[in-house]
Amino acid sequence: MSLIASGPPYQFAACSTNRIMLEVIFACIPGITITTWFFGWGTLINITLACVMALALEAGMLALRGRAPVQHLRDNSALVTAVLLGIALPSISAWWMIALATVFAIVIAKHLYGGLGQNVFNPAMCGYVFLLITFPLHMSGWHAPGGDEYNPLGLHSLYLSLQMTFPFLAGGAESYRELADGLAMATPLLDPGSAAGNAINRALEGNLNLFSPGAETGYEMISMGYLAGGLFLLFRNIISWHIPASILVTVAALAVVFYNPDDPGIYGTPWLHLFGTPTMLGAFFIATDPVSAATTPRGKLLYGVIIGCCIYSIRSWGAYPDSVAFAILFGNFCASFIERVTVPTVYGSRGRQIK
Amino acid sequence: MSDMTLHVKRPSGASLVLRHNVVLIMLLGLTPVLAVSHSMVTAAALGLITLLVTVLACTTVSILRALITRRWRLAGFLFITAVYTTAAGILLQISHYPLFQALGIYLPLICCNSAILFRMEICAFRSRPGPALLDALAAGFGFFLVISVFGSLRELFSTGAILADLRLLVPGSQTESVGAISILEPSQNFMFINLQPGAFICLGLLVALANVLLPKRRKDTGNHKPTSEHLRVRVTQRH
Repeated sequence: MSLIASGPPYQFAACSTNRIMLEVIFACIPGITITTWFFGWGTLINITLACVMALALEAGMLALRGRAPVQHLRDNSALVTAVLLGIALPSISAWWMIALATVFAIVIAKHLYGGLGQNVFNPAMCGYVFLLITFPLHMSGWHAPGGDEYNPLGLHSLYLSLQMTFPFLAGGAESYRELADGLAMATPLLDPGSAAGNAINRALEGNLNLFSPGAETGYEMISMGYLAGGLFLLFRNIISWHIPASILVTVAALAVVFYNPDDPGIYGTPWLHLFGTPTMLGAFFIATDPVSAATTPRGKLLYGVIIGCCIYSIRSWGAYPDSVAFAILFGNFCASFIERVTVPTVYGSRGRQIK
Repeated sequence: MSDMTLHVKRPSGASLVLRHNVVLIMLLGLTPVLAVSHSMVTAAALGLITLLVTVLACTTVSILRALITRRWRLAGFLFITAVYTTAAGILLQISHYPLFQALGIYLPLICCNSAILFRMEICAFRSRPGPALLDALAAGFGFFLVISVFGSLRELFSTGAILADLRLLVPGSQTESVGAISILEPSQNFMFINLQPGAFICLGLLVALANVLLPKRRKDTGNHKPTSEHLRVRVTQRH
């Protein structure tokens, strides 16, 4: 009889990094589908380009760092970064903007910090913020939702999106600029009329079809899609409820406190802050990044409250159109300090010990 | 000379310009490099003033080294550097007041530039004025070179032009712009590089580039034993 001595753990979790990342990508599908339904092919083109570049860069960086590229590429973390980046960037971004953001995310924010597990900041948000402060003008134009003039899912719309991504297809800078002006609009957060409203309610009252591309319910339906994806992640135990719940409660509470019924255009309605903005995407998909978020339960709550406060205050009083990326980067920055003050008490010890 | 210095092969002479560059390899005096390098002209001007102050102060320290006691040498070094820095500031106010204003606090701060203190400690305090002058010239020129190149790169990528502040170099208070050279399309400017985090990231990339490009330091031949007093002068991890 031979005794095999092996060290713990004796039970292995069925979920590997690879599987978690795949499920996160899977959970993004409703949001991405609704985005494509309302706004055309741009987001899909963004995601495809970002995925190809991210995989190539990840493989290159892994090879430079002396790791086995194939083995480490299989953890799919670069794919998640690329998908989130593709969702976050405006769908009319040119290819070189996507390339710059991907390089910044994968090379600087991820591998220069030591690769997966060592990155202090969420790579996708680093890439996004890098573009936002480098090219504020390019980053503030958003695709107008489809209408009577064209069908966002049609071939013509695909051709227009491809022209926006690859400006050389448009034939000259002048026609490119005209095309961009035709397709882009300012973010709805800057427009007090739509800031006050609740497009889904309006559509329901007017007996409009929620999913008709001209109904302008697009932004809110996308948030619903990400909410559904986030609930799926919660249900699958991939994320815990602490971070999304504390972010959403904080944002909602602040929005209720500052809500001005006479003139909702100033700070917007609580509904707008939760559903008219990327808050859902940030709360469920980005802030919960297992590497850069806080890890202890109380720490997660505190982390969510900090991000929620930042989301609301930067959005309402800051200079940039939206704030989720800045808020999450600030939360990432705070995470290591949060962990120091929220160390769980070791069983058997007397009182809390902070070193 | 103490026993300690016999074991140390000190980087000196021409190798200080690139191979043992105070900024890229020793990572000293980074504050001015980060702070004034958003424009090529201010960067080069500060680099030049630092070069002058380094040469004069190091030579003075070398001449006066018999008068400075070992225990109080840092105070002596700082005092001598501060004298030259103050003189440079006053002279600059007379002839180039706008440039003086553009440099702001970083001009007086030359007097506590760690790169200068480092050359005084390593070389000027221990050698005759001739070698001390050459050493300071090489170190200061290395600083000048890096800050100018860094400043022009940052200005080029953030505004698409270089030498936009050339008017600051004209004596008196010139307000008209002279001699800016536009190179890149202004629509593709990299605002990020002009901002503070951009400065840090660019400097990091420049240091990485220097680590790749500059010839590796020769390995110690092993004919001296490192002692506990072994003076460590390199802060990067290259061996």
